[in-house]
Amino acid sequence: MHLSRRHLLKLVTAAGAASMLGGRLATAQAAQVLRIGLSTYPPHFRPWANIGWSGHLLFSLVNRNLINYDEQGNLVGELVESWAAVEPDVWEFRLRDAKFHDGTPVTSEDVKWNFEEIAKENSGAYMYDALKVIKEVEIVDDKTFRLLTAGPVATVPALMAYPFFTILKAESTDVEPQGIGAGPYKIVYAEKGVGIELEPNEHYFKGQPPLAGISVTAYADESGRVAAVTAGDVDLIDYVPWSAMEAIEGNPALKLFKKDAGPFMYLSFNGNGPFKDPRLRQAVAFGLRRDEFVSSVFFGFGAEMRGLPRAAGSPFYHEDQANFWGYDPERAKQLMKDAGYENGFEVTLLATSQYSMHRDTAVLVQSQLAEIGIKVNLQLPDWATRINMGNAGVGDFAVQGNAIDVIDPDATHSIVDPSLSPTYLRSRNFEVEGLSELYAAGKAELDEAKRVEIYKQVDQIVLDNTTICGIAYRAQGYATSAAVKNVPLLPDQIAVYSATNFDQISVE
Amino acid sequence: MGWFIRRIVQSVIMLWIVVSLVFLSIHFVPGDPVELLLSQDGAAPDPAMVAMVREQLGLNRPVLEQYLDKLGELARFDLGTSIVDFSPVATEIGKRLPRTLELIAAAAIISLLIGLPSGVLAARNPKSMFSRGAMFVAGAAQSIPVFVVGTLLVIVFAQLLGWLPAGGFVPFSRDPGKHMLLLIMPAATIAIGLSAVVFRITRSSMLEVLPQDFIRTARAKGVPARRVMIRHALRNALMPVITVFALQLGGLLAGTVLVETVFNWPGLSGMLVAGVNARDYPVVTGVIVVVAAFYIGLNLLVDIIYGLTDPRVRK
Repeated sequence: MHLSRRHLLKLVTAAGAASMLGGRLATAQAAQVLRIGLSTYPPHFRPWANIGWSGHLLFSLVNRNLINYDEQGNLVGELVESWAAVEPDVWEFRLRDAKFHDGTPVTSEDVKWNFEEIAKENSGAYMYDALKVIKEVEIVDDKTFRLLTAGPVATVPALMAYPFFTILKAESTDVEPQGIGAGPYKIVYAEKGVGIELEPNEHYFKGQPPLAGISVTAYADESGRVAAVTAGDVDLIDYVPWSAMEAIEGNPALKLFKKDAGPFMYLSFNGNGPFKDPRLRQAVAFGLRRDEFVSSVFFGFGAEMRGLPRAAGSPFYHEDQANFWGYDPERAKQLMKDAGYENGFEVTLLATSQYSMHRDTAVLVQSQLAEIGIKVNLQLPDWATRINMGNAGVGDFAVQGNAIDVIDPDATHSIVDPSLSPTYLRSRNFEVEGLSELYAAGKAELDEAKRVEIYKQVDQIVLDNTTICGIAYRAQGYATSAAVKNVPLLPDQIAVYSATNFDQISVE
Repeated sequence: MGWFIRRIVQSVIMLWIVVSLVFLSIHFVPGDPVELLLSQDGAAPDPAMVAMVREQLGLNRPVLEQYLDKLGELARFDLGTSIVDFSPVATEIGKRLPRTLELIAAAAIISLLIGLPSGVLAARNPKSMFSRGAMFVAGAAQSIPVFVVGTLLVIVFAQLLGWLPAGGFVPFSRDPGKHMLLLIMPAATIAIGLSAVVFRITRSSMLEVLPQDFIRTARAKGVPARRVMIRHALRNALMPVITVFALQLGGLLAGTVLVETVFNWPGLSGMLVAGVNARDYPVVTGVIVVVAAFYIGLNLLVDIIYGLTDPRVRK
C-alpha cells in the first residue's frame, strides 16, 4: 500500500486526537475516583508527627482518631463509642467494633501501644507534650481502657481528637513507616512528589466508603492547583487561594466550601523592648483597621479578629469579648502618651517574604501604625530564617499565622501565654499575673459551667494585657467540581482539620 | 598522558571546591532544619524535642566534623539520606534526574525543529518580511519569562480549550499516553525561549557562511539551491549553534524550576528548591554535586576529545 504524505498526516492527526480523547474518556469513566489536588506532598509518612494541614487531609482518609468533631463542633465518638470520667482522675473509654485495614480488630492493647510510642523521647509526635497529662493507660478488657491522670483533667476527651493523634495497629510501624490504620481508605501507591493512590478499606467500621478510590496529586503552586480544578484535572483542591475564591464561586462548574473565620493572623510581642508595657501593646491593637486586612490581604474572604479565637456557638464564645479590639486611634495615642511615648517610638516587626499573607500583613501593619506615630521597620527573611530568628527572639513584635488544634478553650493557652517556653510562635519576655494559674484551673475543672466562667476571666486578662493582637481570620476553603457531594467542614478555627469527616465525600 | 591526568585531577579538585562551597553555605545560612521539620503549619515544638531530634540526626556535632563525614560519604559515592523523610538522596535523584532530562530533551527537539529551519529560511533572504517578523517574534519569545509563557499556555490549552491537562506527572510505565500528554506543555514552554535562541544563532551563523567562496563555487557548479543551503551552508554554520545550544541545555539542568513549578513536574529543580526551603542539607548537597559532576564531566570529556583530535591543545 502506498502511504502518501497526506495519508500519513491524517493518520498522525487521528492518532493524536484518539490519544487525547482517550485520556479524557478515561477520566470520565473513572468518575467514582475522587482526584485531589493537594497543596503539599506530605514531607514523610511517619505517624503522629505534624506533617502540615495538607498532610493531615491525607492521613485523615487513612487513619482514625478515638474521638472526632461533628460539623457543629461537638465531640463525637470515632473509634470509641463512649467515654466518661468515672473518677476525677480516671477517664474510661469503650471501643467500637472497628477493624484495621488488615481486618484485625482495634483493641485496647493497640490503643495502649500508641500511647507508649508517642511518649517515647524521640517519637517526634505532635501531641508528645499534650499527652504528658496521661500518667497511665489501664486495660480493662479488649474493648475498654482507662486513662489515668495526676489530677482532674477536663481536656482529656478533646485530646483524643487532637490532629495527627490517630490509632494504629500495635507494632505495625515495624512493617511500614505509616503503620496500619483503621480509616476509610488505604494507601496502595505512593511516589514522593508525584502522587498517592488510595483504595477503599473494606473493613471500615462505618461501612463501605462511598468512593471507588482516591488519587492524590500534589500541586505546590496555588495557581496550578486552581487551574487543575478549573480544567477538570482534579475534583477537589485544598488551600484555595483567596484571590481565586470569587472566580470559583462564580463558576457553575465548581463549588467552594469555606469557613470565613478559619485560621487567623495575629501579632506576638517581645517584652525586651517597648512592648514590655501593656499600654503600648494595646495601642497597637487599637491602632489597626482590621477590615483593610480582610479586604486587601484576603480579598474580602475572611473576618476581622477583634478578640481571641473562640468558635462562635461554643459556650466559651462571648460577643463582647469577641469584639474587644476595635479601631480607636485616639485611644491608641492616649495609651502611648500614658506610657510616656507621646511622640511615638520605633520598633522592628519580624515576618517573612516567603508567604504573601505574612508579608502583606506586615506591610499593612507598618503603614497603619505609622498613622499613630509608631515607626515600624520590617524584617522579611525567608520562612526558615524567620523561624530561626523568631526562636532566637529577634524583633519587637512578629506577624503570626495559626489555627487551633481543638475546640476546647484550653487550646488558646499555647498561643496567648507569654510565660510558656519561648518559641517563634508566641509572645515572650513579659508575664501576665494570674494567667497561667487560671488556665490551670480551667483545665482541672470538670464542670462546664464553671469552666465557662474561668475562661471568660482568662480571655479578659488576655484582652486587657494584649498578650497577642488579633488581626484577621482568613477564610479556609476547599474547591470542588460540581459533581462532588458532601464536603462537611468543621467550625471556624478548626476548619483546617475538616478532612476528618471527608469519609462522607462522594462523586456523582 | 600527563596532560590527561592533570585534567582529571583538576576536575576532581573543582568538584571538591563545589562540594565545600555548597556544604558551608547551606550550613551557615540561617534556618534550622529540625525547627522547620517540627514546625509544620503553626506547630511550636518543644525545645527539648528539637534538641533530641538534632542529636538523632547528628546535627549537633561541629560543622567541621559533619563536613569531613560528608566528604567521606561522597568518596564512597554515597549521597546520604534526607533529613526530612530519611529516604536515600541518590535514589530520589535517580528518579527525578531522568524526568528533568526528559523535559529538556523534549524541549530541545521541539526547539531544533522550529529554530533550525526558520533560521535557515530567514538567512536566505534577511530583508524579507518573514525574516523581520521572525526576528521580532524571537525577541519577544526570549524576553517573556517562562512562568508567564507557562501560565498563558495553561489558561489557553487547559482552562479555555480543555485540550491538555493543566499539569502533573504520570510515570511512563503507568500510562504512556497520559505521560506524553502531560509532557507537551512544559516542554513547549521551555522550547519557546530555546527555539528563539536556536533561530537567532542559526540565522546569524548562516549569514556569515553564505557569502563565502565555497558557497559561491557550489552555486556556480549548478548545485541545487536547497542542497547548497542544507549540505554546504548549514553544515558549516552548525558549530556555533551546537556550542550555544549545548550551553543552554546545560543551564536547564538545574534551571527548569519555574516550569517544573507551574506544571507540577516533579524534576530535579523542584527537589533542590524543596531541599533549600526545608534546609535538607543532604538533599541540597546531593543535587548540586550531581549537577556539578554532570557539568564538570561533560567539560572533561570535551577537553579530552579536543586533546585527542588536536595535539596542540595538550601543550
